[in-house]
Amino acid sequence: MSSLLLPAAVSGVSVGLLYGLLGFSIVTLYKASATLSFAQPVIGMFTTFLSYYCYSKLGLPAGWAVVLGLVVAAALGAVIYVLVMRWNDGAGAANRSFRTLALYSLLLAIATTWFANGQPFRFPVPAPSGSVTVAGSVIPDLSFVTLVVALVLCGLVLVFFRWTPYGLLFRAVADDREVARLLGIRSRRITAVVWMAGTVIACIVGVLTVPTAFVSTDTLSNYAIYALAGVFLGGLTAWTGAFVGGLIVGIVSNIALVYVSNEAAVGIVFLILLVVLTVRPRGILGSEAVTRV
Amino acid sequence: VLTVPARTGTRWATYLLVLVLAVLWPVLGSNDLAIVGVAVGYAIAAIGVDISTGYAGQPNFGQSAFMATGAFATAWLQNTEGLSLWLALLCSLAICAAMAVVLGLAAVRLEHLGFGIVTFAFAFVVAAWVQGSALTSITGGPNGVPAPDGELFGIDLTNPRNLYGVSVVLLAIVALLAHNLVASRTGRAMLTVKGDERVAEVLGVRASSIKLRAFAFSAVCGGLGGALIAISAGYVTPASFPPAVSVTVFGMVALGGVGTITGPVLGAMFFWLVPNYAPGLESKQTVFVAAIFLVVLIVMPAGAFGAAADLMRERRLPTWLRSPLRSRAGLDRQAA
Repeated sequence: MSSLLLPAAVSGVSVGLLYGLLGFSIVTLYKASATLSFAQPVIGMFTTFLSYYCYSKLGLPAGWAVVLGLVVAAALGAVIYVLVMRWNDGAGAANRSFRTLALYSLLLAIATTWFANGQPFRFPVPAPSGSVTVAGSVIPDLSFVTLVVALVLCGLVLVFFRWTPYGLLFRAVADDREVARLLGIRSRRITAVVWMAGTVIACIVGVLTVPTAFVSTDTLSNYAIYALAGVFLGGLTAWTGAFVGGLIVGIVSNIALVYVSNEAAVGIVFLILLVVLTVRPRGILGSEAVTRV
Repeated sequence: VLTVPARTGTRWATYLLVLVLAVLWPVLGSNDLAIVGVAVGYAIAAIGVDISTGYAGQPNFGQSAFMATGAFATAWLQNTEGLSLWLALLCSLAICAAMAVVLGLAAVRLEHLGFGIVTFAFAFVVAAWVQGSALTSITGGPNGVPAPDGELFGIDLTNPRNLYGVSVVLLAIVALLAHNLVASRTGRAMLTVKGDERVAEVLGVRASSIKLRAFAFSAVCGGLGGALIAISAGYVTPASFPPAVSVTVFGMVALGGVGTITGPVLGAMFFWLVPNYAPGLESKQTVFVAAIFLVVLIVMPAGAFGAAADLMRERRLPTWLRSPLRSRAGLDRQAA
């Protein structure tokens, strides 16, 4: 038993950080533009395919293909903002969330129609292949790499938001968009940057899954529920909530996946989500919503 | 949350659409009847999404979960448990309603998009369970199970012409129920909850109970639509209702017009019939549907029916076509 439990928990932590990163892009978008994005997991899958095409079509080495893929992802984020979110952006928060749902379905449809033929594709992203033995159980080195990359990214993002003047601008827009605009912050430009950053983060998450899962349209399908569940577990209004929620979801789902099955993992995460919503709707770290009546 | 107003005076338009479908009954060949029959199933599911989204303000992004439940539960109850078709159908609709109430109890606690999030996640849960190995006795594994068939009140449903007739009658019943629901006391309570929950509570409306009822109605429509689609296809597999179908059904509602009941029927016809009859589009159906869904959300949030109704009633162009000189639009609306 214990020989399975420890690796399951460790890789649970590393995928949990991936859920957390994806969830963090959802939280940032929600805070900066009052839009709940359902599209992040599919954006991650889509941009991973774009990185893969930099490798297979342009003939770049896999490492440089990933770098170029991140640049392409940033450009795609800008395109998404300009074409999908910016136009008629006064139509209301619900309408903008519906748009991300349509974007989810459009990117997924494009990928399954034109990209999926012959998948899964091998994309030799440089990654360690060894493993270490800790307390009698085998843990692949890749888990540690994912852990380190995710921790570094989380750290960078938190430092950016907490201690840089630009981070302060983002937090101002997130706290109160109208007041921030009155103070002269270009809130639409901030939103555009958040969309670019969110797309890049989704791309990083997608690329980090490549060494274990190859490139396929199905890779990130479970992330849609896991990332969202993590966000609401941790609390949509808390910056660090997505990571806490993502870690819980990652560990629980991974252990259920190893010991039982995929459907049990998805089912347990959904049950936890239902219980948290019923008992503590604002999430573990979320603050009580204050509304003016 | 939802800025698109709901409409209650669209009864005539819905009945006109159902009448057109009924007139097509003797005209169409059996191939076409099968295709249009599936569209009728989608229309029923879409009306359900519209009731909870457009009238109660609680978006349902997980209709595929209820469609799958309706299809598999009916097939299982009839094939394995030996129930007659109408009893199997009734039982599976009850299962859908019960699931909706359990989900709803958690979803009502979240403001705004609570139902959207819970239903979206639920679509993935049902898809995972249907595709997994735990329920193989019900889902029949990757190859699926034969759809429920046979007789409904003495009508042989294996004949596509009979099936189409029954589907259209069921659509008419669902449309009638939906229009009566939104015109009733409960319907007015739903509109109040959509407008402002606090105002509704002050007026003595129990918002969470109203939301639950709207959502249960939505789920039952989804189950019925799913079962009809499965019967039309002749089989149901785990791949029949992936989560993306939820988004497609929501797109049907958004295209036709959220909060109109007529709109979802129009949208279902458009999204199912155009790719099936336009040459070269069939393999790209999902891309076509998603692209139109996105464009509609951006340029006309009230949907096609909403825009047309505005144009006819208020002689007002949709916002995106209006010239900036005609800024009297607000005044026009007050006068109308």
